[in-house]
Amino acid sequence: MRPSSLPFPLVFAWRVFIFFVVVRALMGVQGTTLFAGKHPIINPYYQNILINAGIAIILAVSLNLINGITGQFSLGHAGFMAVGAYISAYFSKEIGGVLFAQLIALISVHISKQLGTLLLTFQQPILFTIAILVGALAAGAAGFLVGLPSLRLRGDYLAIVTLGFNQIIVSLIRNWKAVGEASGYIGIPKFTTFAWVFALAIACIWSIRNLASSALGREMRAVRDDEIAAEASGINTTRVKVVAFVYSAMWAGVAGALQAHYIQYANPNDFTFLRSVEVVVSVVLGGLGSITGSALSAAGLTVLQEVLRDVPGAFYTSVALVGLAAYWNFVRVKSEQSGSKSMLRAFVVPFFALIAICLCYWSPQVNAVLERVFPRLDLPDLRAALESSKGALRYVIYSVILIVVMLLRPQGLLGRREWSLAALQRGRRVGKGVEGNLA
Amino acid sequence: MDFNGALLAVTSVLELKDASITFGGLRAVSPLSFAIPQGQLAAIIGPNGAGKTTVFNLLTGVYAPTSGEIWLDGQRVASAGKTIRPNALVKRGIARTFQNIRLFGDLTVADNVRAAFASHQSYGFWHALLQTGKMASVESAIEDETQRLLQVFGLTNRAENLARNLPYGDQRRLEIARACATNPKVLLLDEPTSGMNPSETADVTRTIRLVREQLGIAVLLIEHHMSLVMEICERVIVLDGGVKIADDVPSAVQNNPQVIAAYLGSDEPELNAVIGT
Repeated sequence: MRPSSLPFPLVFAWRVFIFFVVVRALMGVQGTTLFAGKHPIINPYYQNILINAGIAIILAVSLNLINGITGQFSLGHAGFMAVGAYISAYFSKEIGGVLFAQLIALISVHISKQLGTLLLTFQQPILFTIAILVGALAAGAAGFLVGLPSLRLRGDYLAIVTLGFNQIIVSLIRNWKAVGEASGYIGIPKFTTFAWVFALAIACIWSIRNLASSALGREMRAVRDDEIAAEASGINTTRVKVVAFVYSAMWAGVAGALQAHYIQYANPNDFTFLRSVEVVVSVVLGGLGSITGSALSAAGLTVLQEVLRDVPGAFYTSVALVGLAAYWNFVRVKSEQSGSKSMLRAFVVPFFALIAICLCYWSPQVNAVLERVFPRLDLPDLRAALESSKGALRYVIYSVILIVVMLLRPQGLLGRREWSLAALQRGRRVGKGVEGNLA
Repeated sequence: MDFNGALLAVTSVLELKDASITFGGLRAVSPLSFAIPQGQLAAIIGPNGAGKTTVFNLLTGVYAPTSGEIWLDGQRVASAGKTIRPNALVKRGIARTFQNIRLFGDLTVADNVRAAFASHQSYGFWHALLQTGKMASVESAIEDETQRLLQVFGLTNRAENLARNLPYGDQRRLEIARACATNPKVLLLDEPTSGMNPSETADVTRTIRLVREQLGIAVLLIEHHMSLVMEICERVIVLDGGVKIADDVPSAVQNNPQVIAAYLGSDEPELNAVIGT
């Protein structure tokens, strides 16, 4: 359905309708559902992963607007997130409830008691909506402040400024008495559900896709490619950059609000530079400038962290070693020749070598044979060492996987292309770009 | 607006009035005056360091003049120490290309042209966000204009290529097409044929004629290819050391002893041949 084929309000109403049908279906009828009830199909653990993935998607897709589409390197996304988290949490904990109660009292007395009762039943969604909006606006204001230096700075310099901004925000929170200083802000009401996260993640992707496929998105990409030429082509580069920063920061604020109202706790340490880097990683991994790429990689990385938590040490150690070996081989082979055959060899050889090593350690028989053949070889008890360090190792693997992916696909998983169902139906796996597919 | 300005507004699209610029102790351009009438094709020539590109940067708002004024289409756009931003100047009707081609490399050819409609055919943030009917109608107007420009410049079959993958000659043509998409009254071309072979140069020459004849835009170009200047320009302004030393029809400039001296450091008559074609 193209915007031009039907009157706009009709199309828009149709989209909103479909959207609510989907959300409603996910929330389900009482009792028997995917998410709620005594035996939900998606249990709380999986729900937790999905919610974290949704928050990561909002962060990555919104950062992509600055880093990928407008080409300004921002390294302070967690700072905006912190502003959104703390401001919205402060609102719903200290201000919202009291204000709402007074409002209900006023309405019940002066207008109608029924309206008051009706509003009271919707207290939670109304309060949460306002809290998210307040958080988003505060983060947007912070984005405006940081957007201003971006008018003068480029590349590394801007990255340092945004990083500094992130640190300033964290330091301010650590010294802000009303929100618990460094020990964290406790007692935030639990408002976030999967439906909220799902709805907002869709809204985030939808709105940023719309921006990217509009004239404004074209101007943003023009600024990315050549700022001087963009200015000389009549593009107001100041406006373009500030819009990108503010809008992106607002969504980071939304993500922060969702997180704070989900874990019911906010700690300044959750919003440091490391969190920002995590977001940058998912944007770069998905492909700078690809919205679907950011969404896929953000979801993928969240799931990966959980998957790695559960697998036995052996498996992920072998993945890590295969990765390292492949990397070493890849560098070596690439310097000599290139081609798919040598790439294959780069993986196959170390893979079998690794299986052999694992067999030696894990099979008592093989181990016994080895000890008989090489009696003086004092084999370290690698197995015990690995099993005791499960949790720590997953970050090693996580990083190794990132390194391998970036080596094999430096442009990111999707490059600058977009993935869409429409393209899939036409028999093309991957579309040509935002311009071609999403307009 | 004084009487003189009002009179000139009718006849010229672009005018420098005693504009000069000084960087620290260096006077790059001494008070310089000239006016470009509607639809004229003029060239600025001069030896290296004469201040040609500096004049372009003054005209496009990159620098503010130290003294003097610049008038564009009957409005004063720059005076001593003050100028308006390049993108705002584009809106008033001045467009330029760069000595080293500056395209939006990772955008398609068509998108390069579409991006240049920003100053005069646009819609706001909310229309973009909600994909409104206004966006659809403006986009379709942009699309029509883009296709027309691509047609005029012979880039239609390249429309979906990435700009950075174009051959050099096509890149220059696209840069000119993009500049024309801003709907200018005067187009500034900074060495449009630099680094080009004879056939590419001939192609650019055709393109410049096209801009003037089909689109009716005044063209001011900086050029070192004297054959091109003598062939297509109606007027040649010669700068040397930031001072205008000649401003006349090409044949007269060709024989101007001052010009010859500026280029060759002597006024020996037999050297005329080098300046000529």
